[in-house]
Amino acid sequence: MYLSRILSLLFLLFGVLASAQNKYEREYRIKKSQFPEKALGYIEEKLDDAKRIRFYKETDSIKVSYEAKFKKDRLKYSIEFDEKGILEDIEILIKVVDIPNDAFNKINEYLKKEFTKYRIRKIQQQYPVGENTIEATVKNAFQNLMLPNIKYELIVSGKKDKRYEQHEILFGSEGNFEKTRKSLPPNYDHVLY
Amino acid sequence: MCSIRPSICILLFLLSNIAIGQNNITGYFEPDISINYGVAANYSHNFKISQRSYIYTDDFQFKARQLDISHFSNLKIRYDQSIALGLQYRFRNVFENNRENELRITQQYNITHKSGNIRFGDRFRAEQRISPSLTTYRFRYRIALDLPLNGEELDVGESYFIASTESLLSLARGNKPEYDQRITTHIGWLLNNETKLQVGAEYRVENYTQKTENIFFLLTSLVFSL
Repeated sequence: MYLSRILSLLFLLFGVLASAQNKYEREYRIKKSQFPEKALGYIEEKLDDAKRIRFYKETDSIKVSYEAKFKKDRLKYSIEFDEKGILEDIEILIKVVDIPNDAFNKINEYLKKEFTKYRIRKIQQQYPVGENTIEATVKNAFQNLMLPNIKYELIVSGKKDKRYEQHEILFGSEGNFEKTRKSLPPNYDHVLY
Repeated sequence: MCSIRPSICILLFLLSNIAIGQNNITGYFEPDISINYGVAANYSHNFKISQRSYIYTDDFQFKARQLDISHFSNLKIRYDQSIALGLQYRFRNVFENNRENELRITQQYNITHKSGNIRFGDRFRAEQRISPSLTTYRFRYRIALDLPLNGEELDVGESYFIASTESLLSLARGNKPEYDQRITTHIGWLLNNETKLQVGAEYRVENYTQKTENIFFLLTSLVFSL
């Protein structure tokens, strides 16, 4: 009796889940075969000696995008494409020492001003397509060139207005602040941490 | 369900094998419902009600054992660290009249770190378990990991996996120290932004330095985050 009641409750919840699913933004892993062909065309040859290759799809109410992530020559790459498979940007995971001193000092100044205390969790060197051709962007990114149009994307956790928050902050190649976005805390309170 | 990784299935299979391969086994079913809500910046509460029933002692059976009501106050002290104070009352006497009810006070410190899409958490707890005839002091350490199973972020409609192991030491006047070890796995679903459903299994080796007891749990949780 008791068990059957729980089971019917479970089924009810799954019903709610199935009907509510498509309203929210999602990011999930997909197969290579589900990845836009055009997008694969840009990076196919780069994938030859790459490891840990993963494909993702992201959707929200206004946009669909695709992302390929892999490790190549000891570097972690993350490549983003739009709905049609056109390249948007290429990101490489880097460390603090990879940023020129002057630029990093400027970044630190900004962070000190914004946060009471902070910690840099992740840094990515970004090659946006922008005014360049797609071919040039791919070439520059895979040669890891330090160019004036690259950007640094930082994930920073810190204390701001007495709250502990995480932000995604974009800086120009000289360390000038460009934009910031508060990232939502991971929806993870299922384990009593 | 087809997205559950084979490794998880293997782990669950191994867990069940360990439990069945030994004598001195008890099996429980323990569903719980909890509510988490923020009170102020960095400060939150957790309410939980859970009920434990025997499903296996010498034979399969279904018999209620206890009802727990607990409350935790949680204070974030860094982005990845928190301290908490918990109070729990266990109603046992109603279900088994030769057993006593228990008041439990818990102090907790927790620190998490992320590596890729896996999050690790270290949890330290000190507990005072107070019942009319005995007070037990217990110290526990748990390491847990959790990760989303569809992509790198947990979105509505997606599932996640949790695994943890915990070591416990219980001290009480007139008793020898008791050592326990627990291994737990869960699979959960984020049903909507406020609701999660989890099912899991836990294996406990209790008092393994003296008279080992093997305990097996079937767990379900409904978690509301307001």
